[in-house]
Amino acid sequence: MSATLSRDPGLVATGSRAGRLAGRLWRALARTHGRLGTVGMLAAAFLIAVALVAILAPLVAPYKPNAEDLFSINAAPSSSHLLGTDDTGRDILSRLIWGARTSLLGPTIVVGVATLIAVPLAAASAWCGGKVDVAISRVLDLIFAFPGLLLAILIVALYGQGLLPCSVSLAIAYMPWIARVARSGLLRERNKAYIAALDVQGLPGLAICLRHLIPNIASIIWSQVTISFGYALVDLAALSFLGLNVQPPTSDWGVMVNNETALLDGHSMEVIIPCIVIVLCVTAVTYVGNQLSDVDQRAAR
Amino acid sequence: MTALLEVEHLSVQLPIDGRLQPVIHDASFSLARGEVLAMVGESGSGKSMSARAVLGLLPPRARTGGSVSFDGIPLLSAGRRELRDIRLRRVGMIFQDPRAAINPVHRIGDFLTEALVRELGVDGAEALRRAEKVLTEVRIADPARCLRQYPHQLSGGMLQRVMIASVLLAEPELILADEPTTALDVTTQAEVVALLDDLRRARGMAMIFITHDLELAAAISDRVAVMYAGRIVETLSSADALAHPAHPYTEALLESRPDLRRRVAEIPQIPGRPRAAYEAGPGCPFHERCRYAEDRCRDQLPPLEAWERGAAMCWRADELRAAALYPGSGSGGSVPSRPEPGGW
Repeated sequence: MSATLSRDPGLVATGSRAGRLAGRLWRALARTHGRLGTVGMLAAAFLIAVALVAILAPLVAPYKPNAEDLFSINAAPSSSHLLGTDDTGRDILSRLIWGARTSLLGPTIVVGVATLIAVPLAAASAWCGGKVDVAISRVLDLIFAFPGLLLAILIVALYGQGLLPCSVSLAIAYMPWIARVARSGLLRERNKAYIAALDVQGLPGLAICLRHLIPNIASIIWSQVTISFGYALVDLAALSFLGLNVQPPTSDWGVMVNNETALLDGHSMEVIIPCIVIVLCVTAVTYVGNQLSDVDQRAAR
Repeated sequence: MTALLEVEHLSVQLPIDGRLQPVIHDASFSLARGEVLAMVGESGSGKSMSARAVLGLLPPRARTGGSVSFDGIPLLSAGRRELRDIRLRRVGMIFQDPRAAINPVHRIGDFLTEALVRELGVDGAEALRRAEKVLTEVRIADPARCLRQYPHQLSGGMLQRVMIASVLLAEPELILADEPTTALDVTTQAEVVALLDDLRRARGMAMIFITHDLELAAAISDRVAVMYAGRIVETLSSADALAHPAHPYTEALLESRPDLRRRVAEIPQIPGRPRAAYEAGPGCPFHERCRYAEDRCRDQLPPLEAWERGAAMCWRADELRAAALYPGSGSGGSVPSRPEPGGW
């Protein structure tokens, strides 16, 4: 199936600049297709679409997230409210779209912070070896042993509710997962001859790590980051559900799920729709991450 | 003239099966500027490890003893920065398998210019110009194109030339070539070796050439050091290496070569298997496989004893030499008076 995609119009249309650009784009797409497969491409496209909608929320959303229309409370889906309204007459679709912002920003912070801490630690561990490696690995084990949600609750208790404390505490909890995977990849790569060759060329260890080691295991890190993103999305929604993360009336998928009055009143759509969106996002992210790590395992074999 | 590289009583121990085991025992050799020393031996004899020890390229928990001095600088005790400076400017290393030794995801141009630009402060365009010039010298047909290519687009022979080019770019005083042609096919081997030797000679660089091919060693080097089980068992001039070996192991190696002028049913082999350094008992490490072995060979380690044309680590070296037991290459060992248990 990749045969059709990997045919390269860039080779034919090398003349014009636009042609070259199209060729390069095509090659990039073919490469991505090779790594993700068709379903993976669809999943990635879905995620990109969700991210775009989140970024363009003010333009895309038909209403403000907190605009109340008290004349149509708990309205059924209609042409003016595509997914209906909630108990204060707020448009559910608009809340979903605005909610995508916090719901996606949170996991981004989580995996971003976690990766920024994990990769340098893993690199130091793999490069220096010996005592440094032992020390770093023990610290990682220690954090591993502490459940992420519990840590988040503890930090919220200390620093108050909100997206930032929750995200940072989850980042700390997720860091060892990424660090461990990165370390094993880095160790494998570090023992290769080209690293020794760079070492005897007299390049400093830091430069070898930054320019050669880490880029060469980037796909491993990416797959782990992607999978972690899905988990973080769920964990943050859970924290919202517990009332520790994003606070109402700010719209957030987790906050929307935590609407017990809607459930009691029999307006379950309000809760089910954000649930479905969360499940779709997590499934898509996890699928993409799995595809990426499969590619690594195939490459390792 | 003082030696460029002086290795004295070098010993290396590596953690094998959880214990530190010796892989090199008491190796001493020296190298003058512009000189080529070939180190010959079977796999595991410690030849690569001695070269790696010189540049501090040993596994993290290795332990070294003795001294390595490069132009008066003690390398085994050198600090990270000092060692880095020597690696950067003064000593280069060529690896066995160029495909493994070059980062596959970078272009050849990046590989060649990285150290120059980032560490030696050469301007990017100037570095590329130099790289192109050196690629021409290692006879790569289209150097400008090669600079833009990735390692997987080049053949093994071309990649090894790129590797040689990268070493030449730094203009080092010493090249360590660790079996640079083993991964190449035979015709490419000859080209690459000749090229390496020409370019090195033109620049007056010294070289340690590691190989298991005694003939290749003799052809490229001024002196040959034969290693067995982590020890240097014989050093001799390359002129003598093929004609007048003084150690039974060197002789046995010579006899195990295929020879185009002789028709044999089977190429002679040395009986037994090579001993790793840490397996050797108290005696001569070669005694089990040696046709001249006596009782004392089993119990006592012979010293590396110098004679006019080299040095050999054998109790019977004088005796065997006096009996003219080494008739030179090609005659296949047919001196009648010699004891020959189960001939090879």
